[in-house]
Amino acid sequence: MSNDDLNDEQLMTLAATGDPAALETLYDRYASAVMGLALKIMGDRAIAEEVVQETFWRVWRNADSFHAGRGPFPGWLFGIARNLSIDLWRRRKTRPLPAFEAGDEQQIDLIPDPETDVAELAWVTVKHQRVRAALTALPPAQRQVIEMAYFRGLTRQEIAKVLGEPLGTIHTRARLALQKLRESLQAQGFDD
Amino acid sequence: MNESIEELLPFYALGALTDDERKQVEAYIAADPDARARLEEMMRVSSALSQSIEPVDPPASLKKSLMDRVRADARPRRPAFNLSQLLASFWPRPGAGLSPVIALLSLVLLIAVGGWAISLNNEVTRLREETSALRRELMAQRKMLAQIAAPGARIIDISGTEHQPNAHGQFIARADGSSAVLTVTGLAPLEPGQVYQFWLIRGDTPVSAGLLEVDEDGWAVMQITADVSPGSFNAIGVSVEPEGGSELPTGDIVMLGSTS
Repeated sequence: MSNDDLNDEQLMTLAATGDPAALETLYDRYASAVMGLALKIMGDRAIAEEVVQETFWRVWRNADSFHAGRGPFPGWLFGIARNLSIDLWRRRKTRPLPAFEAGDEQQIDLIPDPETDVAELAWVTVKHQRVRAALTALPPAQRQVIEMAYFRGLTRQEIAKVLGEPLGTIHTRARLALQKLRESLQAQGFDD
Repeated sequence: MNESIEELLPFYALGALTDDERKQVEAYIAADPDARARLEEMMRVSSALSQSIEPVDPPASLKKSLMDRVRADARPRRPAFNLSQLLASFWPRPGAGLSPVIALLSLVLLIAVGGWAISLNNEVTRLREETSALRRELMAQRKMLAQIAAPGARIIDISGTEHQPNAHGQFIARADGSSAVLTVTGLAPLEPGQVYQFWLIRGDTPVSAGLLEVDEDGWAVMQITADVSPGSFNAIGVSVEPEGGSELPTGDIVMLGSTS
């Protein structure tokens, strides 16, 4: 059985014993998604690459603190990447460049990893499209609150101030948005 | 159900609470399993958000760099030091006949050795973290230099004035004017309570661009993140200032360079 046949949690158990190949498999599975997330938040490829490197380094160094019972691996991984990105973004004290979107010509000069697993990439792409569709289907005001909170790390008070809306309105939008997202993802059979 | 804390749950799941608010939520869900279940459901949704982003392949060199670092660090992980297990393995079984005095002395010795082992372990952890931080810094500096050495970078010489004629350096600005690096050599050691401060002179107005950290050999490398596009400044300089720096130069101007 190769590492590719193991699930994320099994790979993390191996990584916790000091097995670099297990981390490498996890990197192959998730590095593109982590890079996309960091780029969306930071708007700067050089810094996004540092976030990717630091995220997987922390996964490696803290592998024994991951407990599958507390939630699936991707949530833990993306939590690390998001927190690192938001911390860096706040430290920079300036607005990042506009979010990097699909089809942006900036992608052209990235050197793709020749070892990228095409099947894995296809599955990641399908999941991406489903979640993106669910997010796009939200009413704009609700989507705005979700994006400001999750991708910009703004607190609820900051969001209320930026949008000039009462705090209660922001609470309602966030709650309804998560509820609709959950229904939409469940309807599409999205289970992780 | 506490309505005011329930309102925080979506923002906890989105990672958008202050530290105090986060602690309130954690205390709340610790005492209410239903609330915990509601929060976990929200967190499953929020963790899917990261997958709404278009995946972007990192360069192959990034994986190589990471895996080199990981392999250098890889070794079989030791289980954590367990004093009770260690004691259990040494402590005489009932009827073994070890005297209470020897047993007590053994216990004291074991505790001392255990404490020493823990202290060594902490020291190794600290050193690893320091090494890791230094590696990150080195990588950031390499990237910074690589960006600045790109085609189109502008180089401005900066020389020592009569106060420090041996000092010289270069100011290298990125082609897009978004940042620059200043490298300086030959700066003399300062008296305690003094610092070197770097200035961008815009028209007739010096604008502080930060303090220089000079090493024992008189070397300094500094990154400048201010606007350094062509025409945004006409000269650069370094002055000696009181600790903490000044709003405008108050001491000797020890280095000067001009864009013309």
